[in-house]
Amino acid sequence: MKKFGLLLGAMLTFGAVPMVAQLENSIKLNEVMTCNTSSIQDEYGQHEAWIEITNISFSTYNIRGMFLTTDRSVLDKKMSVPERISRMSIIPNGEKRTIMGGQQNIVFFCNSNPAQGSMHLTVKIDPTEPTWIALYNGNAVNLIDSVTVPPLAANESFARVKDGDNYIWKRTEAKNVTPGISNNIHIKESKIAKIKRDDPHGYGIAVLSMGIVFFCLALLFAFFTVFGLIMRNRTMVKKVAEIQPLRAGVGMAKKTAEIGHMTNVILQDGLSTKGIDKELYIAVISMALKQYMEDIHDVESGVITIKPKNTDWNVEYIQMTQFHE
Amino acid sequence: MGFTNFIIENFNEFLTYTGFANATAGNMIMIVVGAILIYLAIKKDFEPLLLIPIGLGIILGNIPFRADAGLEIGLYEDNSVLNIFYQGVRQGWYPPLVFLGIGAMTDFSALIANPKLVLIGAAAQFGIFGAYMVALALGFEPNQAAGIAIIGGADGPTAIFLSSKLCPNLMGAIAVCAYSYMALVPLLQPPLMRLLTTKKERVIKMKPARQVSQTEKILFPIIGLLLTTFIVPSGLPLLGMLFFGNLLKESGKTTRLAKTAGSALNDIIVMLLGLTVGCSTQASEFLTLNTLFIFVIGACAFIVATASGVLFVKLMNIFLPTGKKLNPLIGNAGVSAVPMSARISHNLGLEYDRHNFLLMHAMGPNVAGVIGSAVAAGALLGFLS
Repeated sequence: MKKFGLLLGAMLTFGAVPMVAQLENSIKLNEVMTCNTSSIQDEYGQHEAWIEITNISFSTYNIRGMFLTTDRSVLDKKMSVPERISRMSIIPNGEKRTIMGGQQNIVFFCNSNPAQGSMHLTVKIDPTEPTWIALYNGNAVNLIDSVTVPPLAANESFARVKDGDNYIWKRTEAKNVTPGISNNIHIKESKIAKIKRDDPHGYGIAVLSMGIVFFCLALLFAFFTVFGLIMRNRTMVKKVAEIQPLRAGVGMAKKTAEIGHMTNVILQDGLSTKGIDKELYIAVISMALKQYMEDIHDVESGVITIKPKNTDWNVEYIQMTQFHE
Repeated sequence: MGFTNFIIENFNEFLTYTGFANATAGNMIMIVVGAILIYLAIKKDFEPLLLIPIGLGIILGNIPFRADAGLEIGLYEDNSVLNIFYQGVRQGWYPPLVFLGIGAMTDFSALIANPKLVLIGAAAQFGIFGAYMVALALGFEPNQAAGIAIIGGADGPTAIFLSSKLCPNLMGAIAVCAYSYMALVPLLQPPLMRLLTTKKERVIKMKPARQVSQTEKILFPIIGLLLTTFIVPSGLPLLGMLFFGNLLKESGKTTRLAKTAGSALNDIIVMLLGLTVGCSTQASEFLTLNTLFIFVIGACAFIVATASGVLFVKLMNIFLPTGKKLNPLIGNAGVSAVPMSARISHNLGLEYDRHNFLLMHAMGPNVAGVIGSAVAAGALLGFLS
């Protein structure tokens, strides 16, 4: 029981830690606007600099307790945790919007007063200077993501956009900023549209998918062919060992002599008394010998078990009377 | 007078809620379709376990009522009981549970004993991709074409799983089409099998399969899972549950679980799945030109799948030595209608030689077809989702 408890504990620890870390690393800085004069407004109608965070995974993750900062001094590993926290702005607890579904985005207003609402952080941003922005996890030590934003014109943003298979940070014109939604919305052609354009008759998908199906099943075929051969040989060796565990040669010779003798008896008996064709006897006996020599007959355990079977006729309570006789 | 008015007003209002006041011609047609499916299931014994729930589901889904009344009774109305049942289809968790049951009931021995039969299961999947091309030619979008084409796999749960992910609006028609053709397998396949084989080929006797050890049976689901899902992770829900069910069966230590997965649990899921899929075929959604196309493409898919299975066996026979040749009648079983297709191979084999028992040989490609169609669905999902 103790061992089981230890095993379970170890499994939970080793299983849960990487999972949490993996989800944490799916949270990324996505878009930043350092000088907002006519872009989105907060609940009070004010234009404030903003930072957008995205969840690139397809799992829900609550980012409460994470920290945003623009203070580079926190890169000093020796800095104590309370000191670090004092230079960072915490993403508040108790706010439903911090529960980020898969592929969702959230915008925080900067240079602001948290008293105005959960989406308002004290993070300081100077639009005239390059600004280093970092996202730290709940212990304020592990850096999750960071970016250095160059000085931007009014209402321009610095956004993480897809470039081929990778993401790069790029200056975005005021008319193309996308607070709260994906940055790739303008440039991304849907997968379906791309397939429709590149493979209008479906030959490509058909060949690829058929190839995948064949490859998968051919792997199964190859594996179980080889494995089947190994197992067959093992079974054969086992059978031989079971049938003739000792002095195999002697046993075989004895058996052959025995069968030879029986053949003679049967042949004589058949020829003298029953008039059955000699060829028929020889054929039957040859077949039996062939089967014996090639070991293709069934191997029986040699143990007969008679299981008791209860029916209405033999159950005990029917055979008993109510009173002693 | 006031009381009379009250009665009349309320009675009139009540009348507006009745099915008679809200019925459309489409509803009536669908109710007749449902009744026909129930008739075929009971009278003709066509897949009764599926067609009875689907047939009644079609009737249930087409009972007219006032949609604006907010009664929360319709399949598409949030929080209605039927809507809650329907989430299993919408979210795609009924099909993997059906696969769990299939895994727990299936004996893969025939396949393990003669692994080359697995290739027939792969060849028969060509029906899916042939149908994909036909659907594209008919003007369907690639995702819709893939959802429709999977009918060629002859696998209801897989068809539902893929269409719920790629084209939820066509799922009802696809599911009904897939199950209808599966029920019609005894009518569709034999003429095609006769057409594509010679009399000499139909009487080929295959060597009896060797006995498979317990170790092989236990290793099959584990190796199968690793080999297939590493290549097609998108097929994980279906393949994972299929091999999990089979491991429960073959491990010898979880007989109770395998029994539940293969009987009670499977029955419950089949009932809910059939009923809700039937319900989803409301006249307004179902009676469209698209549905007609889906049925036509479905038929093409079945024909191509059966033909490619049979022809592939004939191709294999060219390379196989005498004495090891395969009977092409087992080729049709490459589609994953388990065990109907295998039974058809067997019956047709007996028709031409009453000593030629093909059932166990046909079970090999049949179960390979289940794996093959799940892999095909995973591949299409990966490309088109």
